[in-house]
Amino acid sequence: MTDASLAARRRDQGGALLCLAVAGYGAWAGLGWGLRDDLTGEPGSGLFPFLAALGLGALALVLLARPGLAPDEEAEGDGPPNRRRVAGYVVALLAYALLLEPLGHLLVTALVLSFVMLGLEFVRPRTAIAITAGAVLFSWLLFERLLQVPLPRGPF
Amino acid sequence: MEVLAQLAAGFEVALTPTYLLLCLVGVAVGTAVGVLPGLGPTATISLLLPVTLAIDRTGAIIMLAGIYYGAMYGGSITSILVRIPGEAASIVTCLDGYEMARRGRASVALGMSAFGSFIAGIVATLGIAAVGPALATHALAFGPVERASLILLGLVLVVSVAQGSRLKAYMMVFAGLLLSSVGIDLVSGTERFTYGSPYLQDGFNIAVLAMGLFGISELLLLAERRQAQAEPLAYSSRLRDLLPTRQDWRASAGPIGRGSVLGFLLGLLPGGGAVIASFASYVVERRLAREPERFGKGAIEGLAGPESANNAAAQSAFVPLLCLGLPSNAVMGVVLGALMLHGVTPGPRLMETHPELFWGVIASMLVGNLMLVVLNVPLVGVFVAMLRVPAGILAPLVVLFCGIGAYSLNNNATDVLAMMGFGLLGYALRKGGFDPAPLLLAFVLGRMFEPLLRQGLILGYGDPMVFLESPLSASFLAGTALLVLWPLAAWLVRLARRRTPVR
Repeated sequence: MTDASLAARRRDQGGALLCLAVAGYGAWAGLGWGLRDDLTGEPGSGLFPFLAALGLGALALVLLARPGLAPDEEAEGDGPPNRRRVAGYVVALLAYALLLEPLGHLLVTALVLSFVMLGLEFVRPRTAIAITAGAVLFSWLLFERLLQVPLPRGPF
Repeated sequence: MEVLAQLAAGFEVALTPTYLLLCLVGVAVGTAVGVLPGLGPTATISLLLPVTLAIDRTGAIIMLAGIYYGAMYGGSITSILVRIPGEAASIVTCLDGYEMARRGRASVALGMSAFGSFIAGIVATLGIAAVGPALATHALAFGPVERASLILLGLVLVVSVAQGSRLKAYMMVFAGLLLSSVGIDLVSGTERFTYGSPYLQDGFNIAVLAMGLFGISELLLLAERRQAQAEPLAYSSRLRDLLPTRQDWRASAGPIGRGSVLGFLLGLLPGGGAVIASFASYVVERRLAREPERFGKGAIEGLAGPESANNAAAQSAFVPLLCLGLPSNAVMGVVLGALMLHGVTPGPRLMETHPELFWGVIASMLVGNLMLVVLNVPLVGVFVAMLRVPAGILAPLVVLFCGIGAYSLNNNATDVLAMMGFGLLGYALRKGGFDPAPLLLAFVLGRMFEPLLRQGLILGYGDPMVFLESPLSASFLAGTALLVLWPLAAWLVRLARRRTPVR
């Protein structure tokens, strides 16, 4: 086995174990809600999640036991990854979601766009500022004024 | 001949200046909401319901119908350009449409999507006029038992749209089904996987999942791969160079024809609709293709078929609504509300009591589809120009519009957080070689499947054999079993041959 296929194998095993854990929890929760309503004899609330979890768990076991990779399998994004930029995007995405209501749409949009363009994409500062201002203005006009979407205003 | 005369009368209604204007407003608004992720046709039509009270009933339904099928086309634009499905029915368009764009063929994909939708619109309109009302009554033969079996078949077919391992695709289907059970169980009121959170009581929104699993995960993968500012792809600005070539047309003619018919028929079924139609068409084209391995890598057939199917289904979904009073999806449910607001009770007698409404709406669909082509084909160059924007600028703008789109669903920042979470999940899945498309499609189907499965079991007094008693249901189950067991049998035969020593 090459290093790449060994790594892929380990990735599969990790994925299978995670799915197995999710399936185990889903099946346990399904059993808790009941597979059948004892009073009416009708299918219970837990039947569907239980069956779905059972299927997921069984297939995760097959994946775990499988000796190697199928010939057509490949993960996306293989190659030298730019982990710093991915981490930066994750931070930006989470910051956008978490700060949207406390800071308001205008401020959080300006902050996140500036951070991504200047800190991660190395866009020239003048261009980044112009695009940020344009995007903030356009999104406010389109969503808040035209489509009447009540975007969060924050402390202002 | 009588049908043709009625259709001609319908055109007289649809071509009056007021209705033409309302149709134009409908398709333009529909295209815009289709492009904007999150704000789908259901929300838009609901928002516009009070506005329709100022218009007469025929005009109101013409405008609302225009929004619906306009959104079907608009949803494909972002699917092709940035891999964000504006609409659930455009999820399948992401698979090959986006790959075409990555290979510098975005304009061809957009053009074929517009023309395919237009042709499907014509087929669906003629189909509705000729056989729609008669077929709609047959659709009543599809009770919960038959529909549950049909969706089960659909769940197995979902695996065919996946890239890579079949085993992992089946795992994603089960994961999607499990995810679809999050929220309050509508039969018993039990809260499932909600952990006391009011946000989770309604389950996850399809748009949140679609934007996260497809759009945000793609953004992260692109961020990972880009080492330097990539050169934007070169595109011609001449409209003639942007449109599909003769070879593209030859490859797409069959898929458009088959997609139109398939979409028309599936749109008639209660619970069918544009989502199932689009991926059923994809599966059919992939199975019929001489080189199925091209699918998922920019095959024009994988775009033309589903795009035609979702548009045809969007139109034929009006038949069960108008002829039987049965809304086949959430959008039709809102349109039903609009009809009732205007004092119209849809049903088998609608064609006799309000012929101008029925035939006017049907004829307006043909006019509306023509408007979509006239509006959108000249704009193909403008849409494609988006791809000339450097990735370092486009990516943060995608984050912004996805964020606002998710927020606008319920005016709730938790939707934004959930979308980001699904983005990270999609990224992890794709890094692990798991295609998120089956998960998303199974989630959409799972929400329909569970209530139907339970209704079927209730009808059979808890006995699962009820699904084999109906011939229609039994044939769907036989198809499902064949699709599951055939590859398994082939694998076992291969294994046995490998173990047999060669003499």
